[in-house]
Amino acid sequence: MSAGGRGRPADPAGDRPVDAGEGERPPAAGRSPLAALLAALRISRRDVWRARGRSALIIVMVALPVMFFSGTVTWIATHDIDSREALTWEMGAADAKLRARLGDAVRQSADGELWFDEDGDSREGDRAEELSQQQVASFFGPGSRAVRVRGLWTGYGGPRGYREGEVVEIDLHDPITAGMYRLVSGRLPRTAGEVATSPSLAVAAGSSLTLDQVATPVTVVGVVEPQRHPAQPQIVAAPGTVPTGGGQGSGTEWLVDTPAPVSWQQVRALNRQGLVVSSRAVINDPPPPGGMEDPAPRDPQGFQTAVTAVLGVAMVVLEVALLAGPAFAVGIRRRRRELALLAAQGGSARHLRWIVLADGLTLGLTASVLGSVLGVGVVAALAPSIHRGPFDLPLGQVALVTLLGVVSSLLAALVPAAQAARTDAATALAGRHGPVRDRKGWPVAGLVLAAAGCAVAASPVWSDARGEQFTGRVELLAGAALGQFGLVLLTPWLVRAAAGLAVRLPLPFRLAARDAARNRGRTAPAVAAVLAASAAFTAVAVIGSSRLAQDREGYLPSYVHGSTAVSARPSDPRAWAEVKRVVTAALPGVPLIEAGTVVTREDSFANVSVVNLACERHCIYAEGRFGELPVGGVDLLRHLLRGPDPAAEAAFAEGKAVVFDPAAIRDGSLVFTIGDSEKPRPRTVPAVLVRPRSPLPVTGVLPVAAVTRLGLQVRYDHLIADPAVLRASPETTERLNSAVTAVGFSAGAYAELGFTGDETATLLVLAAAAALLVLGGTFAATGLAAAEARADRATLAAVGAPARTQRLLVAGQAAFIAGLGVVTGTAAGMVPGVADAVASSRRAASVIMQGSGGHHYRASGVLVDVPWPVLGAMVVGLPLLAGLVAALFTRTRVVLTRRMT
Amino acid sequence: MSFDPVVRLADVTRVHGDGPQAVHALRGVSMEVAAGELVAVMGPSGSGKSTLLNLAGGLDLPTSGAVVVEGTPLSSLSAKELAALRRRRVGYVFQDLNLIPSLTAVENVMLPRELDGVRARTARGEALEILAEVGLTEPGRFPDELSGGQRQRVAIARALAGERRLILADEPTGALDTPTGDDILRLLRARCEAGAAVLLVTHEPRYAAWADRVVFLRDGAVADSTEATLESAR
Repeated sequence: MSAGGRGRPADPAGDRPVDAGEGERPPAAGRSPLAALLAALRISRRDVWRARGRSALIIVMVALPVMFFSGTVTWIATHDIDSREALTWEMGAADAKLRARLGDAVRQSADGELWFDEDGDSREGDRAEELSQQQVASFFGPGSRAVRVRGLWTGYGGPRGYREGEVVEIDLHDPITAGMYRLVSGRLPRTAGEVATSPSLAVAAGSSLTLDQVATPVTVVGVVEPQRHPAQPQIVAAPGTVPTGGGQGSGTEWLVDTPAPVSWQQVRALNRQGLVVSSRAVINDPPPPGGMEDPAPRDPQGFQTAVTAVLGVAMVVLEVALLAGPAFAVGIRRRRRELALLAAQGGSARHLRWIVLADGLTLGLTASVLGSVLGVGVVAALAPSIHRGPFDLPLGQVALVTLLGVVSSLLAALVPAAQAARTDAATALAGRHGPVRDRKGWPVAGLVLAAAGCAVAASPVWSDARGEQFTGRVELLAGAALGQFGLVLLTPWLVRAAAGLAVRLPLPFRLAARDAARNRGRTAPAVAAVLAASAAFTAVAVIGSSRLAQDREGYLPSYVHGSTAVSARPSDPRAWAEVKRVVTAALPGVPLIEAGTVVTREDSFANVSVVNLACERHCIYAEGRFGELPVGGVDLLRHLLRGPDPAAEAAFAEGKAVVFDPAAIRDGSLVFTIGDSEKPRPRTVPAVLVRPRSPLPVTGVLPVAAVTRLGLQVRYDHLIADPAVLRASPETTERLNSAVTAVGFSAGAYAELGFTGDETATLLVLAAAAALLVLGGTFAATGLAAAEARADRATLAAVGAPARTQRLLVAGQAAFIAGLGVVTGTAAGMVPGVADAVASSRRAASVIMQGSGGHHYRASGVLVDVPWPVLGAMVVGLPLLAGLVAALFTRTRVVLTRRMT
Repeated sequence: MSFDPVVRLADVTRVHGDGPQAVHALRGVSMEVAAGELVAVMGPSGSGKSTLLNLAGGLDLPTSGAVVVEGTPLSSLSAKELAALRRRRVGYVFQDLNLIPSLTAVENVMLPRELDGVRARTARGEALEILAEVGLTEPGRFPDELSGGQRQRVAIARALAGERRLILADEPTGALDTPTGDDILRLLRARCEAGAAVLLVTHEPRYAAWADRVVFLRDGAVADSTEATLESAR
């Protein structure tokens, strides 16, 4: 047999030179720098399996968020149809599509979706319709062929009455259009006068339609589905169906077949001639973005969005790490002896740290890969039935989410790893618990960070940005992230301080608090996770509820309260007649008040604006859906004044305007302008002033006679049911709405019920999510504590403690974690919540919303609404619930513990 | 047999805590174990046996006095160097739960070598060789699939992995029945004959009889030391 050393005889001298005193290293051959790391990974891999329950807990906590986020990014990528995916739907078999022709040189994006001329205008002065087939073909060189796609808005009559919609003239028999439309039934239109309809129009093949600009009815020969937007209502007509100049053009495009692919250089050359072109070759192989040609405006919010995303991700990663932290902390406590054995066999502090980090890596990788596969898998399974277009896997983003999952898990293992590295082998091997290290966290650093977080989150209060809803978002998040980090550092100290307060509590609770404080390694991350979740909820709840209160305060009614209104913007009197017919049929016997707008003979959508209003800087004149100055009969006047007013009615009958705002009336007249021209001609109408009982969303009302006397016209656009005769139920309004929207794209029904905004549902969902996080974090830590305290419970049982005491002990542990976390979290969340509410109400109040009679629609002061009942329920209810559930699920049977040594 | 000590303790004192709560675990203990020598340490509970063993392998540091392992005074080493010393010079064997439960027998033996940077394949080869020497025939089993005696054989094999020749054994037979305990002592004795130095803590006179020398500890001090007669024990 050889010597104790491998085959080496005992060294009789015993004075060999040694390196640094700790023994010579093995020879270089057969060494690997990774050997120790691989050994650590092997141990952790096996331990993960041995401690299946705890491993599953960590895996679930990491895998769930990874699954959610990888599923979300995949969903977005699949849902988003890019130019390449939509190529065939947009341009069939064409090599290029001429989208617009402007007067001057243009700059366009690579796919041709965005463009503007040298002056920075976009979509102005498109003259593509004036081009001829030969002209278009000549732009693309010899051998090219062009096919016109002409779009127009028009009114039409069909089996269901008069409608407004889009007509597209395109030759679907031309192979260049292959793939743009799918024939559902019947056949494709062949000759002028034949049309096909899209499925959403619900017109059967064989019926006939009357188009406004076409003398003879057209025949529906089939149903076709537009592939780019299958739900879009559309009439597809054979070329030549609508005479040139008819209808309101919605854009003419040209599909072009070229002998060779159209390069980006050619597109740029065409741009210089004022042409906007989408090229198949360029879309398939786009030029690098960000070049001089790329007109895509830089997102001014880009930096803010990036910062917001980074901060949001950081907070999610930290929350996941905090939730998983206690499980790692308990893991190393259970493996104290194993770690001590390793130390006895020569494991250095670094080796012990590696073993715990290897746990983080193994579990994190397993959980993240599992989460990503599940997230992507669920979307892949659902996608075909929900999305059009191919399933897209954003590999980079999914990989990033997976990586972040691993990072969270490693982060969770970081503190336990540091603790493992400090293992006192002699103490652990003797089976003793070493003295509890009195680490108080880093209270000073934590306090400083938390205070800095508060200051940053509150900084928008002092900013003087006006009107913008979302300024201060970055400050808010940055403050929240800083504060959260500070509170994590502060939590161990908080746990100790809170346990100090428990001295006077009954035994089980005192024990629970002491136990929590002695095992801060597992208590602190759980408390921090609960704290972070409740702080986030509190902040969102205060912000949401305050903004809701501000919106209620600044609500601008569109109509007289309680009335039901149908509005439309018909370009043709026939469409209005149809709206009236539909509404009368839907509301039989209800007297309807008709109201309109002043228009000119030339422009049926001219803008009317009253001059001399007393609204100045930082003031917006509130305008309901009526516009400033509706036109109607005496019934409209009565409706607005909520009852008869003989004096006003007499003046109205004489053709005088009735004005509600004293500022708008000068020398007995009302002055208004019409149209958008630079110097609009003022129109003067004799007027009387009436002070309405409550503020109205209009400045005044004009009698029809006054309008005709000025040589202007009335375009009727409103039908109102007075609240005195009809209080429409939500169902009635909904039914009315669907009846009128079928008539034209611009019609709709609305019941003026005052401010109806409600955030209850959102708040409930958020509360449920917060409760889930709070309870999840609490139960994970409590379960681990209960498992770890088995020996203590055996001792308790041995001294005669009843089962009730044991239940109360576990309940106390759960309530301690949840209570401390929720109370401090709610307090912490108040800071960003109140700061945002103050800042947003100050911003809102900086712009005055003025209505008729100088009525201000927004309070000028600071409006903060804290949802006390919800927060109170959380602060009291969640710890109680946590304690109760923990007590119910406690096993009170004592398991005899085996001595370690 | 060499007379140069593999481990030497000179006037070693270990005090836990301070002030009125100070506990003197060891008071001025001096002893040596040479290569090829098996020294047994006996004494009642709390006499400082385990403390002595912890100090000899650098798991704990003395309050005063010197511990020298193969010529290297441990007081001059950092924590990292002490860990390296345990990987390369010293092997511990405890009463029970010696092995990492999630590793097989051979992986347990490989571990100190792997932590030292030796490739898994090389370490495995060495480990299988030693396991064969200590008579373990099933190196692929996990600790909980092995008998108590087999587990201790694995622990001894691990204590010898690499170039190590100092075994610090703390009640290695404490959890075993008598015949198995005898087997383990026979194995330790054989390793001594092959050149290893063994410091054995036990409270069983039966096993102390296998030793070349027996040191009696009482209240942290050496109470007696005898040259045992091996022949009488066997």
